[in-house]
Amino acid sequence: MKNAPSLDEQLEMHRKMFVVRRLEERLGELHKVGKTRGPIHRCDGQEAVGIGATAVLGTGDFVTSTHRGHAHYIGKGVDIRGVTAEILGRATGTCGGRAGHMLIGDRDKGMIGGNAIVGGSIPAATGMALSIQVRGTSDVAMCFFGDGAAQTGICHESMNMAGLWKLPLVFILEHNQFGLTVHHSVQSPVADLSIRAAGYAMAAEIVDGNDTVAMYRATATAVERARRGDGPTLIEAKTYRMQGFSTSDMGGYQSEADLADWNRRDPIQVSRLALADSVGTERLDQVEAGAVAEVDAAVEEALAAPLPTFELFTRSSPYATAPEAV
Amino acid sequence: MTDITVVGAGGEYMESVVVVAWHKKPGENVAAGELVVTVETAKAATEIEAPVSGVLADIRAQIGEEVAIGTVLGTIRDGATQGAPATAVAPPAAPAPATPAAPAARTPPAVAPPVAANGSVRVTASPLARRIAASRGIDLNEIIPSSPSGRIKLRDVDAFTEARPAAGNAPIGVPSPAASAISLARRGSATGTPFVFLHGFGADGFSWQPLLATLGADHAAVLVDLPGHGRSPADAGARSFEDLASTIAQALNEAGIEECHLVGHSLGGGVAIALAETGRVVPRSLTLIAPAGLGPEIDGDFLDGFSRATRVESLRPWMLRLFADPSIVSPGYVQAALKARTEELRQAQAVLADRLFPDGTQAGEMRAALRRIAVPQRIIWGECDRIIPMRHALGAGPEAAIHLLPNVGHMPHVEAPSTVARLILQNARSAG
Amino acid sequence: MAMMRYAEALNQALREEMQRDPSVFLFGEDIGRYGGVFKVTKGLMDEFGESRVRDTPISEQALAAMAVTASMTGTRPVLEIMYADFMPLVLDALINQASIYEYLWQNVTMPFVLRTQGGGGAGAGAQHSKSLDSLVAHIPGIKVVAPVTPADAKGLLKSAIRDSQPVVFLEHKLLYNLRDEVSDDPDLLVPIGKAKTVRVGADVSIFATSRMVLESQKAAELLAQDGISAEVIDLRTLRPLDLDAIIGSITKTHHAVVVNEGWRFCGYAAELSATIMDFAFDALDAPVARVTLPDMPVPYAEPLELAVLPNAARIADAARATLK
Repeated sequence: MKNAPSLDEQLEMHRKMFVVRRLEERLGELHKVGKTRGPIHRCDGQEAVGIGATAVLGTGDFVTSTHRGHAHYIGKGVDIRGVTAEILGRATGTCGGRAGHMLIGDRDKGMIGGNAIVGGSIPAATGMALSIQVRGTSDVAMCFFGDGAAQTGICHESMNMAGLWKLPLVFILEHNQFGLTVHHSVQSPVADLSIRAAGYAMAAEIVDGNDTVAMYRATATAVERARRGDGPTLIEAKTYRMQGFSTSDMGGYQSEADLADWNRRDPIQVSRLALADSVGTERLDQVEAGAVAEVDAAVEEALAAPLPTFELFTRSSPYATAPEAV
Repeated sequence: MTDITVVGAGGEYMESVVVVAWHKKPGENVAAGELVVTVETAKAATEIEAPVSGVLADIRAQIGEEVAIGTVLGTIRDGATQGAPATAVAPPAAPAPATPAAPAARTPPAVAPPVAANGSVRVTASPLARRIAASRGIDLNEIIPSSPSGRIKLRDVDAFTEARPAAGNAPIGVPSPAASAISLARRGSATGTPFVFLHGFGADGFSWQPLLATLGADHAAVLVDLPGHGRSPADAGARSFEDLASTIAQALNEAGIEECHLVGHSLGGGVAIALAETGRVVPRSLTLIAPAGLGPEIDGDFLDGFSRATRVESLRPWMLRLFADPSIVSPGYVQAALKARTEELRQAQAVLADRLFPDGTQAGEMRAALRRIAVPQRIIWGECDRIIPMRHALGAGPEAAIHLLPNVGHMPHVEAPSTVARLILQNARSAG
Repeated sequence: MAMMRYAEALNQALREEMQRDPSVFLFGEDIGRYGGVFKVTKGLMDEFGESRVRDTPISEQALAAMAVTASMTGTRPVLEIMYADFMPLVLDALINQASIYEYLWQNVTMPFVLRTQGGGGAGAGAQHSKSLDSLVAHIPGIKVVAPVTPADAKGLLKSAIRDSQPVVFLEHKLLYNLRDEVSDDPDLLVPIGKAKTVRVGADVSIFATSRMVLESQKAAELLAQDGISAEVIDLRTLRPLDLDAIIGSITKTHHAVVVNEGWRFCGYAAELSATIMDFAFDALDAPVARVTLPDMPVPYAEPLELAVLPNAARIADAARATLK
């Protein structure tokens, strides 16, 4: 069983993290000048979780995401240009501007999809894993969810069935310490939510969520377990949300000390350090500059792209069934 | 369903119109080409005709509402076959209606039925009963509901249809003036001594629209189109105010009008004096606005140029001469005026101008006649009139009141409609 | 043709569709070994195995959400929710998940069926007797069907399973033992979106759903004794509505009574009434009459429960009132 990334894979994870970080930073700037629409949930500091976990998957595997899914989208291979244009509400977006940044889905890439009902991704992935099991293929479903979503009732229902039926499923608990503004210590009596896995007869592991390699290793083991038919795994990835709940977050509830602490363990710096000896800083600089250029081009392209035009959706009969009486 | 929209008025120059009158009520039959709604574009009123025959289904633009050109003012439902699914309803059990709906095309085109008086109590009827009654020309007020709900139902309409005499289907209204080709458009109240309005050279009955808007709907108004103007055909033999007055007197008599308050502007002023002279129409009061016939001078260049103009570019300078305030002469107003005058009318008017005002001179002399008219008289003149000199007012007799309006040109009823309306009403009231 | 009960007709539909398409699978509470509390899935686990016929924990919220995504990823799940009263638990899956993805993503299909049963008359009390049709019919993108006869139950369930979009399939606990002839042709489908005129009449149209169709047919008999000719229309599909059938009948009778076993305020009958006025206002000779459950819980004791349920007498009264 292969559970360590190759050097190329590690470098690709580094590149993708840099793409996501650059995207988040550009979105922050665009928000400040009023060029974004609605709240945007940035994942600065959490990139390693999504990028590391999805690096293990193939296109036949399914991923469900959250309202904070940019790293999951990019990790699963959704085109950065489509994602950027979708976030900016353009006709050229992955979903033609209909979905926005929280609900991006790309069926062909197995990203189905973002979900802004907290906890919604958990039964979603469980349903996909059930479908895989009924059809008898070796694909897996991966579910990203947060420590806030872990407190929903539907989380328990889903994990219970996943464990009961040994579904090919990997739960990635992206533990960023906060449910909106409320710290996890105020939401749960236990610090490590992965201890719940025992109640579902499910394997579990706590991982440094700011280390792509650690994420890759743990996920690779879990995915292999799922493909073997040995059931789900709960991976609790410890990380920290560096940029508030959303662009509309006023802040004030995260301690400066904590922020500084986690900033020292920034996943991109962790990754850079790990790669410096083997590939050299020059190569890393090159990769990072390439990522910056790719995102900047995507942003410029999206800003220049046309806004979508509205059409009443009547493709299926139960939509818009009763047109206005004439 | 066919939409009623503003298309002709003002063309591309206009962006909006104001609805000034609906001549049909929802549910009433309309014939293709029949007047359904009057709108005002700039200061020019324009008639909108029914694009198809059918039943006026709904009114979407209310009186006084300003709507963009192209807006749907209302809709006409095909009264015979399509549109509402239940058009052909006669309940299966009931006998066929004794009398079919009167053919819509027979409805008199020029004289609209009187508008319902304000404050009438709304009849409670089912949508179906309301629709069927309207299609049969039945007034719901005449029907007594049989339902304990107090709501008139289809069966009540059917019972009424069977009970009434067949002739009862004819629309109730004023006698038809069809014998005469002169267009008389009725406005406002159906009762009371009517105000008969006679317009000036080159205009038509709708030039009174701004005035009517301030006069209010409480008064009966009859807007005459002089021969060779508006909807009235040319009178080939007309060579004088008297000739014109004779034709109009006949038309008014046939419409049942023998007594009225007379209001005439310019050419219409001269005709009004002549009309009073005929004795066939008894004026209760006479209001003359910059009337012709009180002196020889008139702007011959205007008459020539105005008569010849077939384009906006040639018409506009002459229209500017009519007003003290040039801003009134918007491109839309000129366009509307141009559209209202067909080539046939233009030629008829040129002939008439040559006969009544040969060589730029007023041939008709009405001062003596005016002095013989023993009813309250008012002369209204704009101080900036460049067509007929204001001093002609002095030719009126000693009993005439003269009102000179500052900063107003040859069109006081357009430039100062509320003042003119007040003076007309004061004059009428002084007649007792 | 064979005589069978409504529950057996549903069972036959499930069996035929599972035989026809291996991606069809069933899950829900007590549906496997026990065969369902109303015996609709009887014998299917034996025939198709525990993977395709699953007994589940009592987890309606997750089950419904799972049906949505399982249907997006290559299977055709048929989920049984034991009582319509539990539908509030699954509404997030329908409202926030199933109803949005076809529009947002456009290249997904969601061929799942959510079967449930509702209605009163069995003494099941306030939490097991409701008809919540309007809650689901309210949601764009979800088809809602409610068959009354065994033949329609079979034909519509087969259509629902083959449909590419979500279908909520509303059964009624008092219909399961209704016996009638059912075709054994495995390819005979009843189309979704088509109403059925179950009695032709001239004076008043009665539009009814689910078991209320049977009460409306009895009401028509009562009305016939008074010389009133009532037309009864079984809507069969609650969404999308068969507008042609509705407008056509009202155009003929000019009087409409709408009957639904759910609550009155903001209820399914209210939607029917509004739709009739949208499309056939000028054909109406009287206000549309609604016959519904009063806006209160369904009580337990028999005389109390019978007092609130719409029945033939109340429907006939409403019809007479519109004709007065």
